[in-house]
Amino acid sequence: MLTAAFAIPNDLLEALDAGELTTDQLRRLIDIEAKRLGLTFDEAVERARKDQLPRTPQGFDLQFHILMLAA
Amino acid sequence: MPIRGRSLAHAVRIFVDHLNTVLHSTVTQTPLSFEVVPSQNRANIRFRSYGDSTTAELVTRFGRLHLYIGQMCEAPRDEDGMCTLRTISYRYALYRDGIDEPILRWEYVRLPGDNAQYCRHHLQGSIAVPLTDDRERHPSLNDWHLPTGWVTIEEVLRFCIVDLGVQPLNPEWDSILRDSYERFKTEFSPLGEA
Repeated sequence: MLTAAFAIPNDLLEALDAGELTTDQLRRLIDIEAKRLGLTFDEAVERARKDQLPRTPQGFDLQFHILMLAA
Repeated sequence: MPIRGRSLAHAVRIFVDHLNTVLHSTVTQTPLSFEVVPSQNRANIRFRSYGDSTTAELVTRFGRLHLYIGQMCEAPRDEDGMCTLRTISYRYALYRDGIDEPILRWEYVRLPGDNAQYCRHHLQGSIAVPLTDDRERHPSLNDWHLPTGWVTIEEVLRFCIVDLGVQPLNPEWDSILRDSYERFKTEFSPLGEA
């Protein structure tokens, strides 16, 4: 179960629903998605680089988001 | 002619609207969503519910499965000001109900890491390959990057219907997939650097 700390804030949800994020919002999204997997932002980035994130939909999307940030 | 739009978001919208029409006529009513980050010139296409990653549930002849679709795109602006959509990476995966590890996943990575020399279009999965007599030493397909060509979403949907026995949502599913595949190869053609 997700805890409130890992819930996506309303402003971020609204941006996702609108289909457009700023770079800062993307960073915040990655941070939340990383925490949900028990990782820090930096740990998630390192694991994404090594292709070692969980092979779950959450892990796959997190990897895509990190790749988007790295562009 | 590739997909072109006034902006990255516009081009992705055209693509996702088309994909959803195909999905809703074949295997699922679950819509694909997208998020674009204009400052990065990147877009991510995925199943999303209240901001969270999700999958499309499929009822197959083998039981309940879950389909994951993820695709990352860019759309550089051309001389005429229009943006041309290109796929940077795709991943399609099938999960058994309640199992976090995909059975099969088709992937494309345009730019693998510096030391990655594997085939960029590949198939992986949690399948033991019987290469030796010792079952304990069977390599997993997850350890390999089994070469494929460019795998379209249409081909994965066809696999779900024909081989996994998903009941199609529209009796015209075959021609819908054929037409969409043809459109992908000719009109959309975002293959770019294959």
